[in-house]
Amino acid sequence: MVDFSNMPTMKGFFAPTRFEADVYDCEVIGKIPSDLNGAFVRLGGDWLYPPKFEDDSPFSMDGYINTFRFKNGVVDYKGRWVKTPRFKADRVAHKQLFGKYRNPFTDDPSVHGLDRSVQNTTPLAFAGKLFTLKEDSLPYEIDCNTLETIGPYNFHGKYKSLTFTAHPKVDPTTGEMICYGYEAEGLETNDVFLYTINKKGEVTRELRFKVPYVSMVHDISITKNYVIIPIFGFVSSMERLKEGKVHWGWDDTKPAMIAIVPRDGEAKDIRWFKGPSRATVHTLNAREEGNKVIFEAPIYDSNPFPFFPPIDGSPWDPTKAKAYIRRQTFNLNSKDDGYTEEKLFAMNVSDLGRVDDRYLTQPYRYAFTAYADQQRPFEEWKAGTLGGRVNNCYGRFDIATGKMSSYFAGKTHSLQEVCFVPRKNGAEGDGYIMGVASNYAEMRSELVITDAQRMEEGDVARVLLPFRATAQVHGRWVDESELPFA
Amino acid sequence: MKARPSTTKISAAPRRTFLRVLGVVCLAAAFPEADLLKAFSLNPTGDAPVVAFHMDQLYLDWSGRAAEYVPPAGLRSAEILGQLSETEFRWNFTYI
Repeated sequence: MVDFSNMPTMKGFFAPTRFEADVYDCEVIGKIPSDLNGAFVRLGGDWLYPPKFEDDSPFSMDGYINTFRFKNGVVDYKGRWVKTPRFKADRVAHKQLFGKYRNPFTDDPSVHGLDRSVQNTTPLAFAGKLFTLKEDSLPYEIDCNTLETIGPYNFHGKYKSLTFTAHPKVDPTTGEMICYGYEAEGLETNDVFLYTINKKGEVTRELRFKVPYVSMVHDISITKNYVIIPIFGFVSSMERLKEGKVHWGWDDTKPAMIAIVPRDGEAKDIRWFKGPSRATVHTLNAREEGNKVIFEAPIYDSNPFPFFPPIDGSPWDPTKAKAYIRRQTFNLNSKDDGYTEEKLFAMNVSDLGRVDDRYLTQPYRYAFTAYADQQRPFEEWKAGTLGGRVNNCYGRFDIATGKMSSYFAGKTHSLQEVCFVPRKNGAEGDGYIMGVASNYAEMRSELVITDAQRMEEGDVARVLLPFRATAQVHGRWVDESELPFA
Repeated sequence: MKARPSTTKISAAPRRTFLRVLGVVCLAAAFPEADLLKAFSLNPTGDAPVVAFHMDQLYLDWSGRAAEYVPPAGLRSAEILGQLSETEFRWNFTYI
């Protein structure tokens, strides 16, 4: 029996949806730009069955992939579960068999040894294939037309890490993908395997190295010659897992450690820099200036996730769980292991930021992310009394001038992660901003599209779904030239 | 034509109402078991007033006997967000 009634937060707009869906020729307000042909691919999670433990992390939700397919001015929607071995085993048992986030010791014994991954983090289109990514396992290949799950993928057996990041980076100048796995040789190992994979999908380089302590390595940045790998206060151990705890705990005594890894170097060439406790979950971009590496990201003061609690038993501190766009500068000529840090904007933002991906590794000007503007109107009588817990705007942050322009989604809306879609042959920042808005008054999801250079003018078009789409963790625009779309 | 200075005629009705209510309140305070407030109120049944809906308008039905207005599914659908502590909110809605 499926029963979510004892999960008080799963009601109203946030009740599990659980169904698969096809909507042909979606309702559209405005006009879909004729140069948008491809798909906005989203990946997120929903509970097919309630979690085995009430205090499990939402990162354990079953993966759900969905696409808004744009073709000749019309949009079709399709949503499917990612049908992992875990999903299939749960369906046979009609209940959740798997325990806490990345802790197999909390599973039902019947699923011992089965792939625990839920594939709920990031979609990736690369080398003509569509993948779902979750950092605790290999990528899963997905049929880009049916969205049915094909299965785990190891790049013709050449990708040896047991895990694959949710945030690989594709170098726009070479087409190569820089990717990695951490806990690469198994649970609680301190190995990172770093790979270069060419645009045909062939592994061309592998570098194995060890991190100072086992920690979350969620995202990286790349420059022309280096890979920037931040690790921070999340810690884990086999003892912790055997005690039945969730994989990560937060250790405030751990310094932020940032590895600067030469893309063509060896493990001995890695420089480790050390700084005050921070949490760099997601990155924006990086570049080189002489012998300096400049890295920018929305960086938290401390632990952003209450479900990965402090290991010293202290309560999670929400006042430190705020992300600010910051710049960290690493001087490779310096003999010491310090670096400088500056806050580029005073306001805190969603850490799900994006840039124009054609400018990865290079000097760039614009960063995009969602934020809450409390000065904008919000109709509580329709949407609910949220206490300001709403991301009602997308912002374009001009890194060069410190100026900002914004898009407002509406009086009953909250925005999920932003996506930038470049206009073909356009300059940096010339294109569209796209993302899904939750309309709390109408109980539906709406894909908003605005011109990235005229965000204040509002929608170019808005695609209406007649239901709530599963919440997204990450989404990507995939041009129709990248995948064999029907 | 010169305007006549305006005069305000004060009705005796509000004063009479006030004195009547004051009397009832004093009696109610002196004899609480008599439940006099209920006896003199617009709502002798004692039912709580309800927000009701008629002819596209919300109104407050003091009798408490009208059908209570239940908003359509979806209205105020994010209400739960405002009821959570910051820890509960960030725990459950990391990336909404």
